[in-house]
Amino acid sequence: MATTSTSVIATKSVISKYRALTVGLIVFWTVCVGASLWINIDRTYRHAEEAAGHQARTAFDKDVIYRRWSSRLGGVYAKVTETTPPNPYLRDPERDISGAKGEPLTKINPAYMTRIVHELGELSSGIVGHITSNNPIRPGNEPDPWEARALTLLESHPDMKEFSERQIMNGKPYLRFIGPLITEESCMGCHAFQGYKVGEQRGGISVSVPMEPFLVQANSATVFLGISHAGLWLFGVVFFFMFIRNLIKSDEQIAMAQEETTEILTTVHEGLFLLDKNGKMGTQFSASLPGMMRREIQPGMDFTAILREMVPQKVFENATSYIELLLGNRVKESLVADLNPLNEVEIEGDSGAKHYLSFNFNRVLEEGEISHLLVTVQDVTERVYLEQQLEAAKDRSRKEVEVLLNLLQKDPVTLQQFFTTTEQSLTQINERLRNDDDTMEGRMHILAYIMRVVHGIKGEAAALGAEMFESYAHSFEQELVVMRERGEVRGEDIVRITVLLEGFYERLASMSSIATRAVGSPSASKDGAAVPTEGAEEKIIKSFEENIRNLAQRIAIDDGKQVVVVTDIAQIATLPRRITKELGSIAVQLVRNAVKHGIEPLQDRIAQGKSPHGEIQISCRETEVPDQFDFVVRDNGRGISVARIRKQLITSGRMSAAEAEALNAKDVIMKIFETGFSTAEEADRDAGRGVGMDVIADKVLKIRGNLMLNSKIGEFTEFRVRFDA
Amino acid sequence: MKLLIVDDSSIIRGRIARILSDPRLPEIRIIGMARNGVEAVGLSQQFKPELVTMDLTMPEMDGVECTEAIATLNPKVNILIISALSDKATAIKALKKGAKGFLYKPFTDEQLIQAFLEMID
Repeated sequence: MATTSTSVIATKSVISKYRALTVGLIVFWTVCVGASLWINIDRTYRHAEEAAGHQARTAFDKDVIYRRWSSRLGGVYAKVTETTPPNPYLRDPERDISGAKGEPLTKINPAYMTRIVHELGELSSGIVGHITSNNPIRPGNEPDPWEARALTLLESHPDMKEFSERQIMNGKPYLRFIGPLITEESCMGCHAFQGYKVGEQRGGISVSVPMEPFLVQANSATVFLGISHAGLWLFGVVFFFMFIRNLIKSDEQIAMAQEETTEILTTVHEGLFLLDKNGKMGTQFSASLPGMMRREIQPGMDFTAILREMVPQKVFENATSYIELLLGNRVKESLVADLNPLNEVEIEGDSGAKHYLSFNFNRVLEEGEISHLLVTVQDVTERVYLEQQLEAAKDRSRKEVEVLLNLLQKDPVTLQQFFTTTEQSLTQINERLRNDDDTMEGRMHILAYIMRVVHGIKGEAAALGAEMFESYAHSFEQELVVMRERGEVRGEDIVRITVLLEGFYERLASMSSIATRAVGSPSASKDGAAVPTEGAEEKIIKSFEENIRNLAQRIAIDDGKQVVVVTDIAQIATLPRRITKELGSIAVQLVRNAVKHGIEPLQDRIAQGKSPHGEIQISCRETEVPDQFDFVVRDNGRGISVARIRKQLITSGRMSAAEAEALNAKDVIMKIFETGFSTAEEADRDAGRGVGMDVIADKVLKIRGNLMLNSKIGEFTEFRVRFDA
Repeated sequence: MKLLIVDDSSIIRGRIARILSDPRLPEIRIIGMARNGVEAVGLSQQFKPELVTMDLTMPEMDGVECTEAIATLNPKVNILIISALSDKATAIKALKKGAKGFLYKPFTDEQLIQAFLEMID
């Protein structure tokens, strides 16, 4: 609808624009056709007059000739009849003579002859001839008023050979003509007595030609002229209207095209503009362009100058060369697109985050010649970032596979054990989800259980360097924390947990299939117990150590700390598998805690005059009691601060200040074994979930051991697990 | 149509030669294979090729110089730069010196055929 109404407005303005032109053209045309008609009609009537004049002149000339003939003969004799009586005005003694048989003859002098011929002529053709003079011998030859005036005119202008004029005679139109009679020698016989001299102009002959036949013809010609001119005028007017209509139409089309162009340019996401051969931008560009270029754009701006400010010098030079190549017609457009230096270019903005633009250039041809380049600009920042992220992710997973493959080569047993135990743990979660009581309390219990398991998997994955599992477990855990903090587990939460578990299974399956492919058949039996092989004991210790060291180093690097891990765990190899398995998990959590919470940041250690690198000692020794072992993880960090735990209990809202103060030191420390407790202020993947200590407690319970804690503020923390093999 | 292949890698030379039998291409006859710029200029002088594929990094005389020399000998020659170069500036330089098109290494047979078709269009 919008388009229609605007085009109507456009039409109106176009019409008013052309109204003056239309009126002007019609007026001009009317004047032209009118003038032509007038000139033609005038000429027609003039022709009629001329034709009549011609007839009159012919008659006059004939009169003059036969008069001359007659006067040279001195007159001729004719028989006297009724119609030819003797001329009473002829003074000639020989006027009347007798013929050979005695019959009476009378002289017909030129004037008499003329009169007779004129009478005959009037009767036959209607042309009235009249010989006349201001001084006639015969009274009947006196001039009428017109003739008198014309004779006077001719006498006063001796060079005038004739005079003619249209006149009305007896109510009818005539062309009246008069020519002068010049006195000749032969005239003197009769007119000498009047004092005539040879060569003098004396009177004339007037001829009056009836105009009616000529006018009839002229009138019909005029009618034809009128009709043809009217037709011509109409044709012209129609032609003008069509011409104007076409103009309006083409104007409308131009306006519409312009409107469409504007619409396209305002809506299109890409920056669009034309670039001419001098590097100047066109008058139109898309509305998104200035925002994309992060600057004001004016029509006709120098693109090269803008570009110079936006990109590094080297890119700029390449870009101008490239544009120059495209504007020339030597290179093939399609075969140089890969070389576009502005395909993905980082823009040097004055402020704000860096962004990437892509400029694409396409030739615009006019009659086969390259006239412009159409430049399409796209903001590809997001794409570039995604590509970078993807590259980084690829890099990470490549590393991870590398780590896993490495591990597979060095320690297939541990890896296989990880796959198996993880799968078992996940299956156990599934079963508990299916079987346990569906009260809110029951659900909260399951939640705590799942958190412990997931946290355990996270720790083991971290120890193995399987970051993909670690980060998945981390995000899994984060969702669980949200549920725990909300204080209820809803039905949809259970669904969500199932989905997350499914994701775990998938990752596990793909990893374990990579591992299987890499080494052939797994070296562990289905129930997860490692098949003892030659040198297996040594391997267990070695991988245990290596895992712990890797984990400690990784966390230390993440936190900007330095740690040294010292181990004395040879006896682990003598322990049954079910115990070493749990000890591995316990070690992971304890070492993690030691690096995370025990060892102080580098600057703190230096400030306290301690060695810059913290030390973590891990040992497993048989006590004096046979078959009783102590597994110890000790760090020389800040020690466990009762005050700090108490403060955390209060700030986390788990207890009121009074309640916390009422607890003795031992009870305060016991709180760290409760689910959901953490002293870390911000949760990351290594600490802060408030799961960890409860995982340890869980595992210690499994091997029916005791957990002992010994710590001194500013000096050390020691966890001791005592168990029977 | 006479073709000169300029590339120091025999594998690339072989690949280019292989696609010439494609039915979409007009008859193209290899008049020479050059392993470096000096050889290429010599062969151009002798055989006046109409189509040249040009590597950019070569011993003795590099592709840019070689392009310039061949284009000076015969301004109507169609030179296609084929290079793995990550430095676009050098390729652009070669184009300014008279090459007509550019193809990235590695390329597929189809890409090369399309490039040839474009070049002789």
